[in-house]
This record gives sequence, C-alpha cells and structure tokens, in this order.
Amino acid sequence: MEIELKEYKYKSKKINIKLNSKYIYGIIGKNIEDWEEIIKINSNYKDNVLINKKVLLENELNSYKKRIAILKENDYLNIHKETIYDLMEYILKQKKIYPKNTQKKIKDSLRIVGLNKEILNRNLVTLSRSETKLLQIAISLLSNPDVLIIEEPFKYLDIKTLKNLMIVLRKMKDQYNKIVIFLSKDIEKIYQNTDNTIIYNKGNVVVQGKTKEVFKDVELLKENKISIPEIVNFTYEVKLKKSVKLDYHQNIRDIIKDIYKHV
Amino acid sequence: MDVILNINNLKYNNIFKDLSIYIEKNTITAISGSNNCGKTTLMRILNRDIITDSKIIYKGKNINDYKQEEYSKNIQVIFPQDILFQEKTIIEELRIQQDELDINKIDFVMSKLKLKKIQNKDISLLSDKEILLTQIAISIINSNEIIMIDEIDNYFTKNELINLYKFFNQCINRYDLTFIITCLNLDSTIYVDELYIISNGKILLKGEPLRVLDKDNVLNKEGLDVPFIIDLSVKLKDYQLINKIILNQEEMIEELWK
Repeated sequence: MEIELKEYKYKSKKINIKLNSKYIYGIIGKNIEDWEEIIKINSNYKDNVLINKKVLLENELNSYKKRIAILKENDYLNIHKETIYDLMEYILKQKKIYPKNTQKKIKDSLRIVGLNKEILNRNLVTLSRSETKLLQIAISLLSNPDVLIIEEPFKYLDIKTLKNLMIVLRKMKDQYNKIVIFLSKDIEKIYQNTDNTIIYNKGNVVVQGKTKEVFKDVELLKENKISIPEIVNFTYEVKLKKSVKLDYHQNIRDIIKDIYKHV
Repeated sequence: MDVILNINNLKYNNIFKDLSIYIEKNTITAISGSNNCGKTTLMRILNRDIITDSKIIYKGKNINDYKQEEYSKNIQVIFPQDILFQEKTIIEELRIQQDELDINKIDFVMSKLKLKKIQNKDISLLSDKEILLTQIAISIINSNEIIMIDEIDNYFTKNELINLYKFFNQCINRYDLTFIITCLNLDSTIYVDELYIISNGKILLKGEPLRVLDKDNVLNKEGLDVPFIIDLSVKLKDYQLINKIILNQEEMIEELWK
C-alpha cells in the first residue's frame, strides 16, 4: 500500500508526502492530530492524491476512507457493555461489519495483539491499562484496515508488552501490506520504534525521512521545540564538546561499543 | 525512622502473595513494576475500594478501622482518570472544600503549580494534565497527610516530573506531607526518596533509587527501562571505562574524554 500526497492543500499549506507499508511512521510536532484529517482526504481535493500510484477518483473516496482506522487515546472506553465480547460484537455491528463467524473474528483480533481470549467474559473496567490499550488496538483491527493510525501508542505499555506489540505491527505491515502511523509526544519511543519520522508543525511538514537521519539534525529539532532523545543528545554533545564523532545509535549497547572504540 | 504507613505481608487474590512496604513520613516513595504487577490494585486497596484481611497500618491502626471521613481527611489517593469536580472553577472548588481559605498556602501552591492563570477558568475546559495538577493542588491545600498519585508518569514529561518532585519536597518541609506515587517509567525516579519494584506479587527491589536503578539486568528482565544516563553509567562501569555511577551528562563526557 502506498499513499502519496502531492501539493495537497491543507490549512492553506501544501503537503507533499509519501507513505508506504514498508515502514512504520512516527509523526511528531505541533498539532499532530491534524493527520487524522489529512490521511482521510477532504472531499474537495484535486487530482493530487495517489493510492498505489493511481490517482484517487472522487467516486473512490468513500471506499478509501473505510480502509483507514484511527485509534484515539480514549476510543471505545465510554461504551458500557457487560463483557468485552458484547463490546466487540456491538462495535462490529456499529461499523456494519458482518463476518461469517463473529466469535472467530473477535478471537482472531485478540490473538493478533497477544490478548488471551479469557478476557472476553470480563468487563472493560476490570482490565489493566495495558490490557485496555491492546484491546483498543484489537478493536480497531476488526475492520481489517489498510492504514492504522494510533494516537499515543506507547502510553501504559512496559518494554515487554511494547516489544510484542511492535512485532505484531511489523508483521501486519510486512505480511498484510498495512501502513502503520504513530502520532506521539513520546520522542524517545518514536526514536526507538519507528522507521521513518515526520516532523509536523501547524500545517507544515518540516522534514520527513529515516528516523535516524531526522533525529541527527539536532538544531532542527531545537528550532521546532522537539525534545531530543537522550541517546541522540549525548552523541551530539560529545561531538560539540570533544569533537568526537560517535554514530547516532538507537540502542544503548551500540553506543557503548562506539564509545569504547573512541575513548 | 518514622513509619507512617505499614503494608504488612499483603495478600490479595493472585495479585499480591506477600507484599510488604513501609512508607516513611515526609518522604516521596515511588512504586513501580511492569504491566499488570498490581500498582493500581495496590492504590485501590489503599483507597479502601478493595478491602483485604491483610494488615495495613496507618498511625498504629488498621486502615479498615478508620471512619471514612477521618480516613479521607488524612489520606488522598488520586486516580487521574477518575477525577471529578463539583464546581466550575478551581477557586470555587476550593471554597466548597474548606471553611476558611488559607490565602498564603493557596497562593504558594497555585503559583508553584502554575495554576494561577487558570484558577478562574471553567474546569471542563482544562486539559487532563491541568485537571491532575488541580487535584494535586487541592489535596495539598486541604492538608491531606498522605497524598498518593496513581500512574503519575502518564501525564507529565520527565522534566515536569522532576520539577513536581522538587515542589513535593517543598511541601513536605512546609506542610508535613508524605507522597506515594506509582509509575511505569523510571526516568524521574532518581529524584524520589525510596523506590519499590513489584514483581510476582512481591517486592523485587527496594531502597534508595540509585541502588535499585543500577540493577539494569533485573529491571530489563521485568520489562522496565532504566533511565538512559544510569544505564549508560552502569554499562560503561562494566567495561571499566568509568569507575562510578555518573548522573550528569557533561560530567560523564568529561570523565570519558579527559
């Protein structure tokens, strides 16, 4: 799957961007929630949206929109149902999804995110925050979206749970060709868990590219008031103060080896 | 050592098998652990939403033996997602909770928490972070003896938390308070007095933060991230590139490239 926006007008600015299911994207900066609208494409666009390299026609817009799932931080939490199963069944109906086997559909989406089917008999309020987060993702997968946008995906998850979730999302992207986009303020986690990063600032795409490359430009991050991942900042300061050029690493073990070489 | 709250061999369902925590008066204690280790359940027990047979002693008496009014006057457990206010503004909310307003105290707390600008703003228009800060401010102004905040790290950045802990320490000195927080992210826990890590229903590690945080392998196994500068220090020490834990980045760089 590939979405390309060429000179796409949004909030009187022009956006040029290509999103591909080869990568997991992180979007950081100011007003990143705009991307929930940008990806959905407004109705008065003019021939500047390409889906899999083909121009998106106006009569295809609705079916395109249905292929996008946006998961906001508090989605589904205010729907009161006796059990998780009831909740998921209700959402299926609400989204007008009628699978051949509802039970299988529901259990499959739980399995994908690593949740035990035993939770189906529980009430939402009995779940921990991390279980709730995984359940929200499982629910957004019910519609089998091609594009999954997750607001603050890292919140409430410890390293193990996050690692498992990332394995699931990478598998979804690689095997099922889905575009995964994270909108987050957690810069450290964006740096560690995404392939590509977009810095967005009130309607402007400031920069887009490989995550490691984007974060190398510390001055640009500072200009845009983006906090700097600690491991990046360390590398930057070492160069600045001691003229020692360490590589920009995402993992602490790699920077240790690099320091060892340079000390 | 003046223990104000003593959780003694707590057992509850399969969540806590034998959990003991001693909270010293006038300190900040952080309780952490991986997902589903029971941090919020512990807070629910301390808020008496969940009643257990275990001994939890507050000032010489089991918490279950206190009358609700007396207990909630002394112990405030804040669940950020459950905060509800009755009034429209922070100032109105304070007025209904206090017979006489201590203007100096209100002024100190509100300005330190940067709430003065919004004290007359409609509460329903506040962000989640502002709502939590408001509740913290009200608890301090109301002189609750122990203030507990669940999952505090979900609402503040590392630097905001460090500043908040500095403010808590000022409140400890001025108003004789004690703070207990739970968190998943350990980044700012170096600035608390005591750190507990829960695992498998028991206390896995406890003590001064640095003595807990330097157990990088144990914490990583638990699914917890060690703060970057400590992790770097511990590993560089293992490689014998430095000979002590260094918490300051500049100092670390100077030490490595003397």
